[in-house]
Amino acid sequence: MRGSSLSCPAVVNALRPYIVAAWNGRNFHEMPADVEEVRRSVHRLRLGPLPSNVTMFVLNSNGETVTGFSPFPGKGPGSLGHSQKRMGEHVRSHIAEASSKLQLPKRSGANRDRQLTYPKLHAADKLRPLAGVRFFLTSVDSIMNSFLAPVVEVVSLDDRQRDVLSFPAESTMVDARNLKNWLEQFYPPAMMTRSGYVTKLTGSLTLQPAGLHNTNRHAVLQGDINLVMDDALSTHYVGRLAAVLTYANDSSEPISMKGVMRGIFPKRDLRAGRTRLISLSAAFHSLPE
Amino acid sequence: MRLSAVVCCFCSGLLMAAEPPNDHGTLFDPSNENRVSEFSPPELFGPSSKQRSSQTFRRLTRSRRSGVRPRKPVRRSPRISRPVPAPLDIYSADQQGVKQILAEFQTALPTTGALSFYSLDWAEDLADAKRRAFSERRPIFFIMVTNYSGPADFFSGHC
Repeated sequence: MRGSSLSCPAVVNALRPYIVAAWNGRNFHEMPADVEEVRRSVHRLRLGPLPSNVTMFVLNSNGETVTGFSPFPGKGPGSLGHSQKRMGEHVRSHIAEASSKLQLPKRSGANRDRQLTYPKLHAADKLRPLAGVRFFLTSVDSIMNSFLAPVVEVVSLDDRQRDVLSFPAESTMVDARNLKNWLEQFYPPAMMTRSGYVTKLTGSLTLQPAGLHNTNRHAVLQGDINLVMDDALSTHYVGRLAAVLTYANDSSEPISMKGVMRGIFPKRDLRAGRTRLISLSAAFHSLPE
Repeated sequence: MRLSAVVCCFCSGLLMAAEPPNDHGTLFDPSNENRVSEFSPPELFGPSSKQRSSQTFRRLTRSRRSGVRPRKPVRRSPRISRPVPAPLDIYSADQQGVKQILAEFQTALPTTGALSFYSLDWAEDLADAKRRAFSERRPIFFIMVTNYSGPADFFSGHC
């Protein structure tokens, strides 16, 4: 849905006047009270049974629920033929109906057109170099539209990890487990089996000095990382990483990092009796930028 | 057995149902009742495609008008084909390698269009959205998702 209806230009435009928020959890018991109150409004507004596990609500500026609807007419995207266009049109028409109820001006909030809001970095000192890493993960060659929108994860780094990445006098080996909290973000979304997280991560990366550029020094970090996904088959896959770290001439502490990671995730489809190869491509950079 | 003939031969069953009742007012001619043991494949499965005449086609057409319609399959939209990136090389630890890796980084960054989901005016949670909505006099679009398995972070996309 992130990559289908909610990335559809018509829906993005229709949502310009709105403040957007989301809640997700495994079940209704995890819901905070304010979300539960919105969920209960389905009955108050007599919206009837909503068929899928995703529900969209429109609330007025006083926080009162105006309407709610499912992004699909049936249980899932199959009811709209998995078509991004049809899913977008379905959601857009509901938003347009709600907007007319609220008597919204057509283009309020349009000044936010180009500003992107990513997940926030939660770190004690967000301004220090390499306080964290922002990770953009794109999955290719999948039949699911949900993969069309990139995953964006933000992970904080600690002093120990910055020490591991300090400028090397000569080629050194870095244990990938030291960087686990951001390397483990390299997994495809929408697995929908077991926990769906990376449970095991091993590998050795090489950190080598890579010469001078103006007043800075560079080092290259590269190598293969073996990952195990906690899915029904504990799928093993490999990601290859290559990154450039930048240092001031007089300091071994890294100032910034930019890099890429690529690999293939073999997703076994037990029902269809085949294996789909999902190509994973990630770009990451340190925060602050 | 008559019933199984109708159910098993889906296509010809539809044709028979579409035909007007015979003189006896039934879909089956009573004189055919003794033919139970004489069913042969053409009778069970209807005429082969070569044998289907224009008359049969007309009957099928008539059946659609009379309300007996084949189910319309919901077709999956065509897959959006995007180029699969080539595997990463091992780069030399020098300025040329640095340039190559930085070029790969630029290529791997998603476009603004692909990130349009993040161009919406996101609030951190519903409480934050309500605070802002009240002060800015704006409505809220709230998405509620329950996933029983897998990671569940709708905003990051690992859901």
